[in-house]
Amino acid sequence: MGKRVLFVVKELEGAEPLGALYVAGCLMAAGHECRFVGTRGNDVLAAVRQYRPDVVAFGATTGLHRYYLGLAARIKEVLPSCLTYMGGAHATYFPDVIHTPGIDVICRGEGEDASVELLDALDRGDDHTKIRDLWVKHEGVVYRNPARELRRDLDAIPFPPRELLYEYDDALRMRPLKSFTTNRGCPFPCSYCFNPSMVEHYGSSWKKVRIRSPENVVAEIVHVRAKGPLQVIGFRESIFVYSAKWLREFGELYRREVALPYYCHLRADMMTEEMVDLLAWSGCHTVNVGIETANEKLANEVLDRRIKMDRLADGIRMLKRAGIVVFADNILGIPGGTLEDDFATLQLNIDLDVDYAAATLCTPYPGTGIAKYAIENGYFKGDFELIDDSYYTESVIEFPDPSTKRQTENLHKFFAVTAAIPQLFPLVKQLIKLPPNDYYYSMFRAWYLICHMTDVMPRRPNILPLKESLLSIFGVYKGVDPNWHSPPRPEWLPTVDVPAPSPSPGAAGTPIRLGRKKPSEVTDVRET
Amino acid sequence: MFAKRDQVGPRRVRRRLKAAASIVVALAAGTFLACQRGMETAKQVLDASRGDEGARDTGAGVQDADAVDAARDAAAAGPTDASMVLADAKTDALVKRAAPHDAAVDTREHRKGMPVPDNLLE
Repeated sequence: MGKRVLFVVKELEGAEPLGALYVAGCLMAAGHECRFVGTRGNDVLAAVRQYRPDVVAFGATTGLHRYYLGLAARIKEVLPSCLTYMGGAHATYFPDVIHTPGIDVICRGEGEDASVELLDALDRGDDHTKIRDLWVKHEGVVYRNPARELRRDLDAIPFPPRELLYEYDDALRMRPLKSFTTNRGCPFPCSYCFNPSMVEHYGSSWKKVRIRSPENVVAEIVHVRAKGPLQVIGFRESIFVYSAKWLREFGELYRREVALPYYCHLRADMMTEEMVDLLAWSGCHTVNVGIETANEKLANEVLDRRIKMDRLADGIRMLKRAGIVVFADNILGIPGGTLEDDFATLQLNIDLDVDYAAATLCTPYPGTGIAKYAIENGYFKGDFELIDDSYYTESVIEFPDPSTKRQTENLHKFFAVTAAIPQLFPLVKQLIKLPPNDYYYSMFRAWYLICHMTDVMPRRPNILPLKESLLSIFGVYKGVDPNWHSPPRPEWLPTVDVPAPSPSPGAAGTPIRLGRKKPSEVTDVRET
Repeated sequence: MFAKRDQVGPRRVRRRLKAAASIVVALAAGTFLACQRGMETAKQVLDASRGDEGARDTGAGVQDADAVDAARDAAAAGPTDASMVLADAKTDALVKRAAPHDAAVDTREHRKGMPVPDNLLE
C-alpha cells in the first residue's frame, strides 16, 4: 500500500533539494507516496493537517536545523502519529540531535536505501529500530545503528522526481537554471567541509569517488529539458571532473544532446591544459574554484587543503586564458589568520582577475576539523548555538579585539566589489573601520545579483523574478514564512568542554566532548 | 563552445562598469533601508514614551525575540474553532503555493538571505 511522506524544504525557491529528491525517487520506486512543500508563503502545519503524512522529512544544515526542530515539535503536536525524520549535513555531523524532543529518526549520510528500509518497515509494521545509517528514538530508547555499504552504482538510482516540486509551484519548473550531480564522494580532507564527517561515518570508501556514466547524466538533463525551460546547467558536486577520459566522453554526448552552457565546481590545482581545453570545448561557461586563502600555511595547516598555491594560481590562469568565467570562493576570518591575511587573499583574487570573488565568514560547524582546531586553540568557545543559518552575516570566531572582528565582517561585504574594482582597495581599508550598516550589506547583495545574472550564470531576463530580486536589495520581500517556531527547550545542541589554555599554540588540548545530559524522555541509548 | 577567449579583456571592463552600477544601486538601497530603520526606531521610541498599557498588551516594542516566539507559539498552541477553519481553508497550499502575500520590508532577512533564488553561495 505504501506510506505517505511529506518533505518540507525551507527556501524551496533556492537550488533544487537534490538529496531529498533522490530519496523521494527511491521511495516512490518502492511504492510510497511523496510530496514536497516549501515554507515561504505557505502554512506547513495546515499542509500536515490536510495531507496527514506518515512521515515528515527535513534535510537540515547546521544553523537552519533550529528552524526545523521548532517546526518538527509543532508538527508532532498537530499530528502525533506521524514520524519526524531529519537528514542532511546537521544530522550527519551531529546525530545527537535525535535527543531533541519532536525528532524521531535521523539519517546519517546518503539516505536512499535507509529511507526505503524505514518506510518499508513502517508499512509492514516491522521493527524499524535496527536500520543501518539511522538513529531511531522509539519508546524512550535511542537506537544508534552503524553505517551501511555505499552504493557504488549511481546509475541505478532513479532520477530525482522534480515533478514533485513543480506540482507544488509551477514557477520552479519555469526556472532557467537547474541543478544536477555527476558524482559523489571526495578524496580531500578540507577541515571546513562536510566530507571528513562522511569519511568518519562511512570509512575510507567515501574517499573513493563514485561517478555516474556520461550517458546517465546526459539522459537526466534531456529528461528534465523535456519538462520545462532550461538555459543553464549547474553541476553541484564537490568536484565535477577527475579524469580527462570521462570529460571527453561526457563532452561528446553533451555537445550533441544538450549543448547548453554549464557551471561546475573544480579544484584549480588539478587543472591541466588538456582538462581546461576539454572543459571549454564541452560547454563549460563558469567554474567555481576555491581559493579560500592566500596564506599557504593557513590553507594546509588549518584548512587542511593539501594544496600548492602556485599550482592553484596556474590552474586559474589556464581557466581564464580559455575564456571560462571564474567564480572564486574565499574564507575570511580563519582561526589563526589575521586581517592582513584576508587583505592578501583579496589581492590574490585581484591578481588572478577572477570574475566574481565570493567570500564567506569562517564558520566552525560541529563535527568539522576547523571547529576542533578553533576550540583547541581558543578561537571558539564551542557555543554552536551562536551559528546562524547564514555564513555571510557575522563571524562566531573569537578575534583579538572587536575592531578586527568588525573590519573582517565589513571586508566580507566589500570583498567582491573590490576585486572587481581594485582601485577601491585603499578606500575600503578605511571604510571597513566604520560600524556595519545597510549600505555595506546592500553593496554585497547588489553586486552579487548583477554579476550572477549577467556573468556567472547568464540567462535571458525573466521580468518577475528579476523584479523580486531587485526589490530584495532594498529589503522588500514578497511572501512571509509563517512556520518559525521556537525550538523545544532544552534544545539539544552540541556543547563542548573547552580545554584549558595551552602554553604553546597549536598544542593538543584535552579531548572535546560533545553533547548534553540525556533529557528525561530518553531512558536508554543502545548501539546495534 | 561558450567560453570565449577573446572576451576576457572586454568582460573585465564590463565587470568594472557593472560593479560601479551596483555601488549606485547599493547607495539608494542603503539610504532606503536606513530610513526604514529610522522610522522603526522612532516608532519604538514613541510607543515607549507613551507608556500606555495597550501598547504593551499588543506586544509593541517587544525587543526579545524569544518573547515574540513564545507569544506566537502560545497563540498557535490552542487552535480555536475559527483558527481550525482558517487552517482548513489554507489546505490548497499543499499542492500549489499560497497566493503571494503583500510585499514588506524585512531588514533582518536583508542581512541574511541572498538576492538570487539559485544562489551559488548556499
